[in-house]
Amino acid sequence: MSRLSMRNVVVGYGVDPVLRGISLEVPDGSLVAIVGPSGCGKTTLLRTIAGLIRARSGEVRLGQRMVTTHGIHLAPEKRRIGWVPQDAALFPHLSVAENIAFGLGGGRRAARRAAREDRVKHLLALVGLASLADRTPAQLSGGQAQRVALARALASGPEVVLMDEPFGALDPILRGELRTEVRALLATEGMTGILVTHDQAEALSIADYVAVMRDGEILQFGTPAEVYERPATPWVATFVGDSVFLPGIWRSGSVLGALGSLEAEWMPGAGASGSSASGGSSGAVPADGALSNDDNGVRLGSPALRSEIRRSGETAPVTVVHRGDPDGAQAQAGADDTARASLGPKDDTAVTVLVRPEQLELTSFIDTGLAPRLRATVTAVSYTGHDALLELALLSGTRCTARVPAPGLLPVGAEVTVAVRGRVLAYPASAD
Amino acid sequence: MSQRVDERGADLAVEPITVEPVPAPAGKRPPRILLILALLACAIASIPLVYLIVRVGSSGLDDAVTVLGRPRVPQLLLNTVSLAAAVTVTSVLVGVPTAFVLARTRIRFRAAWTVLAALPLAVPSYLAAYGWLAAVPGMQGFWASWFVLTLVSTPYVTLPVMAALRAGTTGLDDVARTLGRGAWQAFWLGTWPQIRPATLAGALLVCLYVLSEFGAVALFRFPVLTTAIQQAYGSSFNRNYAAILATVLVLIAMIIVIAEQTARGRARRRFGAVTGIARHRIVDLGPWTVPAFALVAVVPALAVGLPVAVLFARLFEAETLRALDPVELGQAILNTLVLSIGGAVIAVILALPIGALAARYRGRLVRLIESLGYLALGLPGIVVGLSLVFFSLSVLPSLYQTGFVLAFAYGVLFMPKAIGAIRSATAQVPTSLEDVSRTLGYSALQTWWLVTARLARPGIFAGALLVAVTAMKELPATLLLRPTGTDTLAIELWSRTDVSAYGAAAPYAAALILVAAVPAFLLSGAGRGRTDGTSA
Repeated sequence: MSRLSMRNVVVGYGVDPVLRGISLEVPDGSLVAIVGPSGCGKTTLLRTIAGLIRARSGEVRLGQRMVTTHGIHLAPEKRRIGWVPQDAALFPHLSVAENIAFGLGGGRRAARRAAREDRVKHLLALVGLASLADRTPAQLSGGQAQRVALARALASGPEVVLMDEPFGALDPILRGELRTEVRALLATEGMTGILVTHDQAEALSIADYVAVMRDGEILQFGTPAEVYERPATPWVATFVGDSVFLPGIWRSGSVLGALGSLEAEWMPGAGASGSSASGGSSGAVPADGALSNDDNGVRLGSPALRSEIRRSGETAPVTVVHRGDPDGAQAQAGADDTARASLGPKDDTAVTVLVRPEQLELTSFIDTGLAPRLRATVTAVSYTGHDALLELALLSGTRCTARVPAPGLLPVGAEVTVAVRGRVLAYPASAD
Repeated sequence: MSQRVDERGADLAVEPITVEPVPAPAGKRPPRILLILALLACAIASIPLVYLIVRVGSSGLDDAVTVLGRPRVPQLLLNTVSLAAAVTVTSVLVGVPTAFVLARTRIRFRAAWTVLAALPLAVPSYLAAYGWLAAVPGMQGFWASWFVLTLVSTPYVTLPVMAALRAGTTGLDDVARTLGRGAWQAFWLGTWPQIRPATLAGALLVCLYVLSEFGAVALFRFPVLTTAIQQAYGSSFNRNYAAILATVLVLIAMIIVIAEQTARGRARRRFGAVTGIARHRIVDLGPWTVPAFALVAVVPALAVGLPVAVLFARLFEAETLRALDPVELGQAILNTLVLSIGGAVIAVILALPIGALAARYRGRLVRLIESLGYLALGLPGIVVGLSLVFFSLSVLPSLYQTGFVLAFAYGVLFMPKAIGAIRSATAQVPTSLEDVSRTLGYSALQTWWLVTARLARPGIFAGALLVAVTAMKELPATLLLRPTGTDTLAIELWSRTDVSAYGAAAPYAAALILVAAVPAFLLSGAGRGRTDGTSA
């Protein structure tokens, strides 16, 4: 059963609403992360659930109660929800315990009495702040303030806890600690939670489900693994993680491209739902004509194909033209035929394949007998400690990135052989 | 990844300078009840102005033409406008450098100088003028008025410019310097645009203050519109003459308010894009130390020090002490307190819905209501007094000559101060606190009372105190509206100036300064320390 359900919720005025028909089912007891770039409407979505913003149309149901439907708008104070804002928003004139007790109703005087009650003590202990009950909010650190805000939101036993970038103002280390704590806390209380964040790593690491938003729409809703491993569109793929996009040609279950023939899965969802998104894709690919001037005409009937490397969050991809190499491609075409042909598009359709950097396997051993296209040179290294991203230039001119564990780090200029691990995803070439 | 870093950087950069209230999200409309209350407050506060216009309008155009055709009228206009212009210019010329010295240089005893810079506000102009007359009996006319009014009104420029300099940044100056400009040019390009709105606002206050000035110009026998209105009201029974002159005065004031509004609007639009944490360099004075000391000392010494010293010197003369009636003095203090506190209460009640609305909502209607609330800035006390005499006589005769009408006049006159205080106090309460309170089960009204009003209370209280202090010193409206036999400190002091009874006036002057200066001192402390308690 779902604790929260939204159907076709539209928010905002005019032809360009902030939310354009959001539908969402949040299962009971789960933690859902809503993630998207700033300005995508994720906070508006949260405020609409809370009743702090009126929806223009659509339905919102909390538990058994319809709180928003055809012109009916239940006031936020009657919705029984917990609200944790980014700045914690502790009442500065109340102590920590009184802040929590304020959620039990009756104003300040009642809060002062209730501050000694067991429920408040229990909540304080739950967030590990039992010793700070009489502090004022000004004496708390950022992480402590967020804990108090969470305890306050939980105090009245809400249907669902809404958190608007609750860790946004904290430093990275504290952030990591607190989000594991919050997740455990919600789980022990059996509480349903919705968390808004612009940090895709945060969303993937703590949520049971992730909703990826863009321009007032939910592009994909699924478990973190689904969203990362089978992103609905190339844009989602880029947003949730580093991505390499390579052009290719569909051949019944595999794709021919710069890295040879790769076993691929067809992701048609992008073409179906991406109509609104595709408008943005043309702008994201810079200077197509200028780059094709570098092409010395070695096209042999295949279009000039582009490869793109995108870091998560980047909007303008690096675009490189590489020369089609039909001879080599055809040599391996027949070998990788799989039974997936019926699920894909017509053969010879141009597609874009998504390869995650960690799918690229590098070996420093150069086998001269191997097809020369799988040989590459390391052109740049971006070291993060636990692993490193290597930028590679294939002999064919295609660029891609590979994630390698830090101990296997290679210097710039090293020659490697590239292989792709596992299955890749193929999207319509026009999709963004 | 790069995007996330950018966003965090942007957050850091924007957070510390949210001076302007957070604009309401799209589609958030003010509650109807609040709009109605605010409109009602505006309607009540505009009674004096509306009634004046109605009265002048009903007496016919011919009357107005004959009155304005009198030979004295052009002279009055010229005197009024030239005095206002001269005082405004000199106040800016003295006030801006003073503010710079206090805000951006390493001057010694800075805290003390800052308090002293605000001190002339606690001294009514007629008291300063009276002190100077006692010291230099021959002073009169334009130059005397210009001199004393410049002294007492310079803080109106110094204080806002000082605040703007403190909140501002020298980052732009630095950029200008690295681009090859000299120090003065850099100041002109970087800092001046930041303090321009504050300077304009200060100049506007000075200009309006001089236009509505009555006591000092009357003492220096310099005929301007306000004194002419008072004479016409007092001597002849053709009160239309007074009403028409009052309308002319209001028109001049309104023109200046509108001119300043448009100038400031342009300045804000041109200079909206400064982001970053406000940091500024503090300048070493070096050889400029002595001139800087002279600059910050001259205004408080001449505006407060000399007149107060002269009057206090008379306080302890045997003759003064013999003539002093302690009962009369005590009664005057009591009357002053009751009337000014009553005025403060009325001002806060009228200003609450307007200030709450202006702090939280945007839109054309909200802007209109707010500017209506600030209308009284352009209403000289003598005009409000005159209009309320007419109004109470013909509409509510039972209230004529009661303390209520006088307190109401104070409330209307000083409502803008209360609106400003309530607006900024409310805007400082983060809206996220209200969101939390709503989701915790409190209605909009409960939230306002338990959270917003509770946290804005120090600011609202400071606003009320500011109104009360100002009302204590008010003279022209008090002269017209006071109930017969009810004497305030201002009235007692004024009545003794006619006969050059310097000694007899001294106790009242002392009492007035003590009663009005103490809250002014409290205000300067409250304004600095308490307002940031909400930023947890």
